[in-house]
Amino acid sequence: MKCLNNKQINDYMEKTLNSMEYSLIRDHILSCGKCRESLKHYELIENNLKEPELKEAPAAIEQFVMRKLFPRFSHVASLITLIAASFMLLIVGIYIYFDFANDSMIKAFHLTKDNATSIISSIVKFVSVVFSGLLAIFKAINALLEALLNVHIGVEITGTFFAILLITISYLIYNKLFLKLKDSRQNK
Amino acid sequence: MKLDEDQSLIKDILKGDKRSFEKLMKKYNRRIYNFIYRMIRDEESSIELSQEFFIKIYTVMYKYNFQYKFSTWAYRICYNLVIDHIRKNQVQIDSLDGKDIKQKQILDHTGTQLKDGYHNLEKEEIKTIVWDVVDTIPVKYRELILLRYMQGLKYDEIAEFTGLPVGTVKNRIFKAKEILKMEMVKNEMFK
Repeated sequence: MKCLNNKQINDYMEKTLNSMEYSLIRDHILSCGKCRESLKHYELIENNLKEPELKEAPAAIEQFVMRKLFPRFSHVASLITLIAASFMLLIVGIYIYFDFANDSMIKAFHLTKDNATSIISSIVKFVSVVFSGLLAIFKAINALLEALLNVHIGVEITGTFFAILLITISYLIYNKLFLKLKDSRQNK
Repeated sequence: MKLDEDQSLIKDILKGDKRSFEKLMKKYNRRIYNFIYRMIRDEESSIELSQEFFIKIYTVMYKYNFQYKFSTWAYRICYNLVIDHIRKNQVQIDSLDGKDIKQKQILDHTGTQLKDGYHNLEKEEIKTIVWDVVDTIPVKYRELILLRYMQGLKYDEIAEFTGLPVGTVKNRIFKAKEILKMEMVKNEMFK
């Protein structure tokens, strides 16, 4: 029998031959060094292919998928929480502002004259100025709305609306930009 | 019907158990990532495609038929994702199948090969060389080698995945092994 071709050797190795062909080829391989060597080469390739070299998958895959599929808070829940938080902040802000407007806190700070209270007093004054500025802006928007659309909403509602709007925009920017940047960094 | 390990996890996932999905992902993550990476040979895209794969698996899990093996179903989704990616990026992928890379990667190992021959190479080194050569063969052979040996699919399953006749699948896999053998002979690895 003449030497086997590569296909016959491969089929013998994969045991896809019928019993007659299989015994003929086996007999030849036993007596032919060249074909035996060729079979060894195929077996070496086959055995190494059967045990693929697997490198570790980057952790970013799992992290991204879990965060995407199971966010700690849903988008709606996060948004509602933020709106509620901003509303609370506004209420507290308005309360503090009116307290500042009466100067009751500042007067209380001035009763004692050490450095610590004067620093606190300056901070309180600064916050008061910021609130006054914001209130002036809300009053202006309110006046503009009244002049253009002839509607009177009220400074408090305008302020609440703008606070919610501002926080919603910040949240959306955070979601779109910051998380995208974080993901791309993790992927690297 | 008796459920296997994967199918039990899927049942829990469908009930909303995220820990089961995490377990399933941990089990397949490495194999899926390596399959994708060896198909497209771009780390960043491989990560993105792996992420896309797991998100897709989760969102279409309700369509899974418990009569079939989960791995076969999942590998088919993975294969289709990769093929779509390759079609969209045909030029870049094809350009990597050139001879330059083939020779370069083989040459990276020839120092050791020429000195010792494969008998003296460590088992792990031979495996690395064999798989490095796999990385350099054309996609039409490489995809079948990966489906057969990395995903452990049978010839008829590969034929179903790829839409090729079983005979063609067998011939291409044999041809791929011939290429591997030729490369190894050329680099005197069988001495």
